[in-house]
Amino acid sequence: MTRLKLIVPVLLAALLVGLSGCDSQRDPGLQRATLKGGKKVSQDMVGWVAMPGTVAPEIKQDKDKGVTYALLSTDNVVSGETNGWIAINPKYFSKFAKVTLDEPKAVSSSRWDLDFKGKKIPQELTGWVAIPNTPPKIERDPVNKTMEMATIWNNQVIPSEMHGWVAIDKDTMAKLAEKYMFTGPGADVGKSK
Amino acid sequence: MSDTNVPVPIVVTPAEPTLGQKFMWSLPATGIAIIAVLVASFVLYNFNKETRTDFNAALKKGLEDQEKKTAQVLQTSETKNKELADQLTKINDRAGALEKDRENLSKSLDKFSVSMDEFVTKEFTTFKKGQEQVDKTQHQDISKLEKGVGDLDRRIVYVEDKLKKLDDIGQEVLGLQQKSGQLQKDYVALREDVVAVGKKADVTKQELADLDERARLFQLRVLAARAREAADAARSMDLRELMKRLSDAEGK
Repeated sequence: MTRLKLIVPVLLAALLVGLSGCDSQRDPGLQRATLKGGKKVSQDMVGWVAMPGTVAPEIKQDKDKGVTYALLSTDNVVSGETNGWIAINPKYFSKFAKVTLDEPKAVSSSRWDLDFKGKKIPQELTGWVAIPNTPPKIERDPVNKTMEMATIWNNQVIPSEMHGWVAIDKDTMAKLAEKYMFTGPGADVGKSK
Repeated sequence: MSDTNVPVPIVVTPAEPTLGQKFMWSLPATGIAIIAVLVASFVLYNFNKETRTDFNAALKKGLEDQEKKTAQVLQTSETKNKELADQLTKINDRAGALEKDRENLSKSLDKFSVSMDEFVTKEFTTFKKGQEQVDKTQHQDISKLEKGVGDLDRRIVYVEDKLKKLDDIGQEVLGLQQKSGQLQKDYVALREDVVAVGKKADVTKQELADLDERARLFQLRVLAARAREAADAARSMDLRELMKRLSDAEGK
């Protein structure tokens, strides 16, 4: 009976590892894993991407305008702090929010794609972090080419095409949009001649 | 035949007299000469005495005549000087009079010039004013005509512009997600009024101002509605709707 009590948890643990299908260490509660060199990519991690580490977008503040925003860079991983924020093309954001942005720093991407089952993980990638490669969905205005937006969610990897984009929370976006709607050429109808 | 006893003649050379000998020999002659000179002088003196007297008298007379003539000349000179001084005084007086005349003439000329200037200026000013008045009157007439035409043009353009913009707003009203019945009714009423004003020939400025104010208020309500919808779209993260609303602000 005592042996049985010992064997059952061991079997359960082995089963859990087996079910994970990956030879990497999975973070509980997160779609995230730490790679181990020499192991193979499991089925459920196909389509993921691995990076040396996770860097959250940099949070900035324009005190004059009272706007807090996140500056996105290639391979940033969206953190819980910016979960559900709305990312905007920087050209449109500057016009829309009247905020002057710094030129985004150039970054060199060092990704490793987990693109098929059984792909051997190189030894030098030990310790890299793998996450599902689900980039934000970009919405584009058919007329105004700079009017591009995307909602960013936790654990998403920022693609290179969104490098330098700005993200703001939805309430800030709502306030800025409301204010912006009273400006521009579309708001001059009916003024006295 | 020679005879040795024959005497030989001796040649004796007389000696040269000395200076004393010569001087002693001349003394009588000198005395005689002095006496002769004295005698001759005496004779000549007596002989010229009368002549000298006559000469002195003549000289004296000449001097007297000279003095007389000198006095006459002086007298004549004084007279002449006096006459010249008188003439000079007269000339100076005349010159003064001429100077005075010249000054008077100059003053008169100045006065004449000033008068002429004033006259010319006055005449020119009067002419200029008259011409300006003519120009002004003509300009006012033209301005009135242009203003009339301009007002009419402006009213037509205003109404057309107002209608166009109202139609734009109308499109926005129709495009609003949360369609407001009241907004649409107001839009229809406002549009009808604008059309009616456009057809009216004698539309007043006040009517246009009232219409403008109504349109402005209506626009503000539409702007507020669409801004509210944009904010709602942002809060609900409906990015397509948000961009559509933002495009309205872009004037597209």
